[in-house]
Amino acid sequence: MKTYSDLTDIDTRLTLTIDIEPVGLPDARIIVNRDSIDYPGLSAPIKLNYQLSLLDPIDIDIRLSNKQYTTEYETAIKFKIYIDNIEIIPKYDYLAEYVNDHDNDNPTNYLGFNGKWTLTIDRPFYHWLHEHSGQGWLIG
Amino acid sequence: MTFEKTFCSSPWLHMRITNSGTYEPCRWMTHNSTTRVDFTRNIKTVAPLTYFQQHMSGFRTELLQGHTPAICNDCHVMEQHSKPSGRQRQLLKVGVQDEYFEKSLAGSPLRSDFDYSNNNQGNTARTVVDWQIDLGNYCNGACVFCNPESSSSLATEFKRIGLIDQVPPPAWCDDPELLDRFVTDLISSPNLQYLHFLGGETVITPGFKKILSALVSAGLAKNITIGFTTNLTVWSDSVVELLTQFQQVNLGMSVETLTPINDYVRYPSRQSQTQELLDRWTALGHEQEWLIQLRITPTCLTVHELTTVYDYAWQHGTAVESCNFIDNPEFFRISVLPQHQRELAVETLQHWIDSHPVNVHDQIINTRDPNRFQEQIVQDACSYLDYLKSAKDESDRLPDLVAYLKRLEASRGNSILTYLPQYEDLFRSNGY
Repeated sequence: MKTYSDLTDIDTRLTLTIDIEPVGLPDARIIVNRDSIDYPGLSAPIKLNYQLSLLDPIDIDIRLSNKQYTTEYETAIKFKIYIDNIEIIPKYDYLAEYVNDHDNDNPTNYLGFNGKWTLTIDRPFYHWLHEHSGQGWLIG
Repeated sequence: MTFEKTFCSSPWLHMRITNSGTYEPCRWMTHNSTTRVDFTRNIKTVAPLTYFQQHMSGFRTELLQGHTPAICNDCHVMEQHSKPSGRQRQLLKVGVQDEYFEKSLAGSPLRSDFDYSNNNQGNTARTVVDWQIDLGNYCNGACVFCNPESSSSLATEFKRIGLIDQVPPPAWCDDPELLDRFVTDLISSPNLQYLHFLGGETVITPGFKKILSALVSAGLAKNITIGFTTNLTVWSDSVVELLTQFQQVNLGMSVETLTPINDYVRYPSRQSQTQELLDRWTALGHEQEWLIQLRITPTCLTVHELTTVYDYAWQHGTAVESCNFIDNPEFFRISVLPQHQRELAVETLQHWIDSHPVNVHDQIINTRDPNRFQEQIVQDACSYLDYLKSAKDESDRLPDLVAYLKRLEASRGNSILTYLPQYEDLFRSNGY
């Protein structure tokens, strides 16, 4: 950028990256802003990339289902999340909600129980990051 | 310099009223022979909002066009030495960070305001949310590096010993009519968020209490943060009572070292009283959950004992910060120290930094973040280390320093050698 007017030429989309590593053969569902994708019996690591709007809220929902606890002791989904290459999970995992059939709500990026893990970024991403990275007040 | 290194959001948020009542566009503004203040634009002639929305349009346009205004020089010097600048702080308030400059600017809550100014010759429809209010020079202290415009005690002394012909005129806020007009403007200003007061010594300046009282009476205190710095020689229960009614307080406490040289530099302080009030203000700050900082102005007389302040801050969970590298008087700059003394100061600072390991991943711009005070202290120490190592040698100013100190000492009856005996050869060889 040489002047403020050059701001109109930059790519303002966000890149959301979810790195998923299966443990065992989990049935996984990934939902980003209501777009859902299923991975039944996921057997190999996957990297999901999404292009998102700079100012839109972001909802990320990762689910594990159909785990048989008696026969699949280690089945789980491990994941990391980045937005524009900035680490979000596990760094901010305490901001996510984890609801599962074992009532275990400890902050985590390892889903070992049938249930739903949700991260809600309820405002423009960089405003959210500003708050949670301790940058002080934000003038609106 | 690139646009990322010159653009600043400050003129969309902030303005300053100086002691004389003149408006300035920025609290960090560089004052030197290449910068000029228009003294015709002051509280007697122009409403603050008119100055902000219209008269500051040229400054905004310069920034939008990627120019490097001369008044921004101090910020650029600070950034050269990895010291968080006013520019970076003001950008942070609107969500813009160096690391993600373009996207965070594009997504800034002020994006539409920047667009508006870009399309309207720098004008803005915004109002001031962040004020710097200079309240005059009413002060019981006479720090050696201070000036008559900021200390009435020093002004009186300077006049007595012939360094000035006249003391500065009364401040704008000593005029009840102007103060009333200003307070009325403040109270009617929407979205007011931050008021930073500068003295003199604010706690004993009548205007400070009057403005705080007016904001409390108007029911605005709960939405406003107050910032001020005390010289650690005063305490006022009534001011404290007012302050506790505000949303937040950013409290600065001025101290140079926690050793006897502080008494010489922050004349006529006494170390035991300074320590007592430092402990008292710090305890109050923690109790009220204020954001507290030790404010330092390192000079060639104190930089070698700076670590005593860092130690106190480290032990008491407090940040340490200076506004900028001292520029005037020139002979107090750290770079006036000759190479040998610089090396000793480097050694002391380096040892302190090495013995206080922290995980610093990124530059801390929000230096008031209480969760990162240890990293912030080390960051501050590193900026002085860098300055000591890299700033241009100005030891040719030592004779001016000595001549100035001798003149003050003749008035005060003290001697720098009582406090800095290790500098005796240095000072003697430069005219002491």
